[in-house]
Formats: sequence, structure tokens, C-alpha cells
Amino acid sequence: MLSVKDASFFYDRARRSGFGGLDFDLKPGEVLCILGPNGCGKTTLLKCLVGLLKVEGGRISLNGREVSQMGRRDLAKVIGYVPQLHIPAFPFSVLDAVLVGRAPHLNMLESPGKEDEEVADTALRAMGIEALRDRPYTQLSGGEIQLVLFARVLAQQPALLLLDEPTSHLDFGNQIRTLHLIQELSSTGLPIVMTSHFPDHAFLASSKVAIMKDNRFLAVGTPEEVITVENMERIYGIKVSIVDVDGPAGRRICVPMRGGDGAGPDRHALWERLANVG
Amino acid sequence: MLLIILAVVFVLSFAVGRYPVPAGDVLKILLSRVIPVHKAWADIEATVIIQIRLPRILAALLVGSSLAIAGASFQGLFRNPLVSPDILGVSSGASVGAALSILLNETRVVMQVLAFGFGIVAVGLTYLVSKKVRGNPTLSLILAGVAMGSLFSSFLSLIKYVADPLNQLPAITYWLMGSLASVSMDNLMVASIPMLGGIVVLLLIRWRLNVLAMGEEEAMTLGLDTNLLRGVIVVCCTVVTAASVCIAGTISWVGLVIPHIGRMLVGPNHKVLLPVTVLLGATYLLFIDDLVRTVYIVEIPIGILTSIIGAPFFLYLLNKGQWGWA
Repeated sequence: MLSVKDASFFYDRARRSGFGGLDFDLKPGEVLCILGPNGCGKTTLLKCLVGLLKVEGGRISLNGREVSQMGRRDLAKVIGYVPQLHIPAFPFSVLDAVLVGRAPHLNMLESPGKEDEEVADTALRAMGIEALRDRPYTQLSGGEIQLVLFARVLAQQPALLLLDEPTSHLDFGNQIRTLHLIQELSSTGLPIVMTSHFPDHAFLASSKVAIMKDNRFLAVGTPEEVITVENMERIYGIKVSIVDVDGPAGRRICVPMRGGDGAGPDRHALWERLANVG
Repeated sequence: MLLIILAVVFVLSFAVGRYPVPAGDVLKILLSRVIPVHKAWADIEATVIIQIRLPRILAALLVGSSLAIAGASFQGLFRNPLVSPDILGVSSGASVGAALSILLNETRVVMQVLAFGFGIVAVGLTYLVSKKVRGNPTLSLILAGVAMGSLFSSFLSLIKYVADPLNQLPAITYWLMGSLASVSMDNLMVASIPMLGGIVVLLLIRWRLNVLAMGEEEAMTLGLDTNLLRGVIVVCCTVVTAASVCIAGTISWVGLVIPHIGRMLVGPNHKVLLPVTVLLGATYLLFIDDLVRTVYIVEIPIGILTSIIGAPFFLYLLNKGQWGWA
């Protein structure tokens, strides 16, 4: 179980960039989706959870062990992290890119052996990409690269999965497929923390939602409790409509309304001048 | 396959030169050191092979391997295929050390010690400066290295400027172009310790370069102590390069191009790539040194030939396939 108590981290003395006073728990099989505007501290929180940054105040513990007390290799054995954007440097084969996930289970002088290769192959099959095994991963589509990163993190065999905006760089189909994947992975008992820019995705994939603004959590709870018209306007400053739809979808959705936020006639005049209309 | 090519070039290297020895005799002379072989060659042949050619050939193998593996390791560490072993200033530093000893009319031993020492000092300074810079440690290391290299190059220019233009300046210039001509068994023995040591350590940790090539943060989340690993790689690459430079002068291009050719042959997986670059680097430099010894009556500096042969060959390979970064 993941437990976060009064955690805080700030990059600057003025305490503008970072987060403070965060409290939440995550039980096996739960998916926590963190929503919030750009720069509110979502990624910073994930970096503290994975141990890339050390919290300044409060504590983060996983299954009773404090994250800030754990060594890098011990952390990597239990916490898997998929970054927002992976920039490939060399055209490794998909298998080699996934095998890298075995690193925490090997010491400095070891390289992956037969058993590690079996774990990697299992991870590839689990993601349904065993056919890509020997292809250079630089030649794959964005959705396929995402699956390779998921296979890599599964080969790590973690007890907690952290996903930084897993749907950000994907097309519509791959976004939804990724969300389904997250839901199915969590049903095996793996707790997952993800960040997202789409409130609707929280309805689709998460059991818990935290909304973050100005470096703090405004609310934590079930998606139905937290994703409300008022909360969305508070964190994003736009109007949304939240309705239960019938039919095959049969779920609650969060959709934005039509129309701008009122730039005013002065700015419209400027646009027309720049666009040279008429 | 690569081993066979290396073995063939190795034996032929003994045969070619100003005093040709038949390849069969070469094998017999070499074998006679290990097992008794019926003696059917002139004493002078044995002298040429063992006293003169053996140290030079071993030096070519070691220097070629060192530069190639240092290049491949740095390219993986810095996630950049344009990086060569002297990116952190080791060659500039070593050149200053060597030029300084020529300026002071020091002996060859002093020159090698100074070259090695200055190479290490230059990289040490690069490392210290980069520690003071906030932000991405890999990037600050490269930037500090470029600045340090340029600083030491200007020291080198200064030394050349004040050097005696009749004796010292040509000596410095000739040294900078690189040569294996004056390698003796004694200084090869000394230089081979850091070289072999560095190569062995790099080979032992080579798979970790795959993890490091995922990027600094990802490597950390995969459980790597990136600071430690980066330190080990920088030390090994610096030591092998400095040792190469101090016995052979600056030999460009090997450390840049051999890793690329290796990637074209076996792909980017460092577990396979690093041993392959060692073999390729050794074969390539030995082959080039054979050309140096045989093409013209006077020896052509090896640093010139490595580029003259290497650059067009590399461009040809680039054109032949669609390799992208590989």
C-alpha cells in the first residue's frame, strides 16, 4: 500500500513551483488519476513518488518502507515509472529496450540472462507486441512505442506503477486502448498512479481522482465525487457539462461547452486586422 | 569472422615493411617463442619480427581498441553519435603535456608521463567544473569538456608560438599527427596497464550502457546509480585515451567512426557492440599502420591516414544504407 502524509517539495524558496501538504493512500488494485492545469506540480509529485526527487517535508511510504530511505536499486525493484515522453537515442531492438527493465534485478557487472529474457518475452506477450520483438523500436508508431515502454515497466515487475500522462502523445484510439490497459492491469491488484489532462479519462480508467491546483490537492475521492462542474471550473477556468449518458457507453462523461471565454470586442478587432478579413 | 580477419591482418602485419619476411616464416618465428619449431630463418628476420615489429603491432592493436571502445562508450553515455573520445578534453590536455616537454627538451619518458598526466588533469578539471553547473549533468559535462578542450588547445597554440621553429615546432607538429614508429616494448608494457584495465572494466559494465542510453532520469528509475556509472565510464575512457595519446600521439577519427561501423554491422546493443568495436578498432588501426609503413619510403603520419581512409569509407557506408542514427 502506498501512503503519502503531508508531503511537500518545492524547487524554489518562494514555494511557487512544486507541491505541499499532500495526503493520500492507495490500496492494491486502485487507480489514482491526478488532474490539474499545466505546472501545478503533477509531474513533480510523480518524481518524488519514484524517488527521483526527495520530499522536503512529510513522508511517502510503500508497503511500510519509506521511499526516501530506499536505495535507487531497491526502489526500482518495487516502483515502475513510465515517463511522459521517451526520446530514443539508439535504434535498439524492441527486446533490448524491454530487457532494460531487468536492470534493478541485476548487479553492476551482470547482463540479462535466459530468465530475464523469458520475463521480457512474457512482458511482450502481455502487451500483445511479441511480433515486434526484433524490430528497431525507433521505427514504431507512437502507440507501439508506448506499449514497448509498458512492456519494459512490466519486465521490471514492480509493486506500484506510476504513469506520467500516459495518453498525451497518442491518437484517439490509442488513448482509449491505453486507458483500458491501465484498468485491466489494476484489476490484477497492481496499484497505479497516473496524471492526465483529460477529466473524462478519469471516469474511464480510475477508481480515485485527485485534483491539483496551486501546488495542493483541492479534493481527493471517487471520480463521481471529485469531477464536478464547479471543481472543473476552479482548476481549469472553463465551463464543462457532466452528464450520465445512456446507450452502449452507459457512463458518466465530462465534456467542454461550446463558445469562448469572451475575449471581448477589442481583441476581436485585433484578430480581424491581423487576419486581413475583407 | 572478425577475429579471423584480425588474425590474418595480424600475421601479415609482421610480413610487410621495408624488410619483407614471408608469412610462413612469420608464423614459425612467432610460434618458436611458445613451442619448439625447426629453425629455418635468418637471425635478422627474427630480430625484425620480435624486436621491431612486435611492439609496434601490439601498440596498434591496443591503441585502436582503446580509442574505439572509448568512442563507443562515450557515444552511449552522451546519447550522441557525434561524440569522440576527446570530447572531455583528454587529447587537448595530453597534447599540451607533450608539447610542453618538447619545449623543455625533456626525454621521451618525461614526455609520455606529462602527456598522460595533462590528459587526466584536463578531464579532471572538466569534471570539477561540470559539477558546479546546475541542471542536466551529462549536458554540463559535454559543455565543460568543449570549453576545456578549447582552453587547452589555446595553451597548445601558445607553446607552438614560443617554440623554436627549427627543431621544436616540427617535433610538436609531427607528434600531433600521431605515429607508432617510436613505440618500444618497455613503454608499451607500461601504457598497456591502463589501457587493458580500462578496456576490461568497460567490457564488464557494457550492458549498463543500454540502460544509460535510455536517458538520465529513466536510467535512475531503472535502478542505476547514474553518477557512479558515469564516473566509472569517464575514468575508463579517459585513462585508455590518455594512454593511447601518450604512446601514439593524437590519432583522430578511429574513436568516432569505428563505433558507427560497429553499429552498422551488429546494431546498437552495447553488449555486442563493445566487443565488436574492440576488434574493429584493433584491425583498422593495424591495417592503417601497415599502410603507413609500406605505401611510401618515408612514413606518413598515422593520424593523417586514419582520416584519409576513414572519412571517405564512412561516407560511402552512410550512403549505402538507410541507417539513420546507427
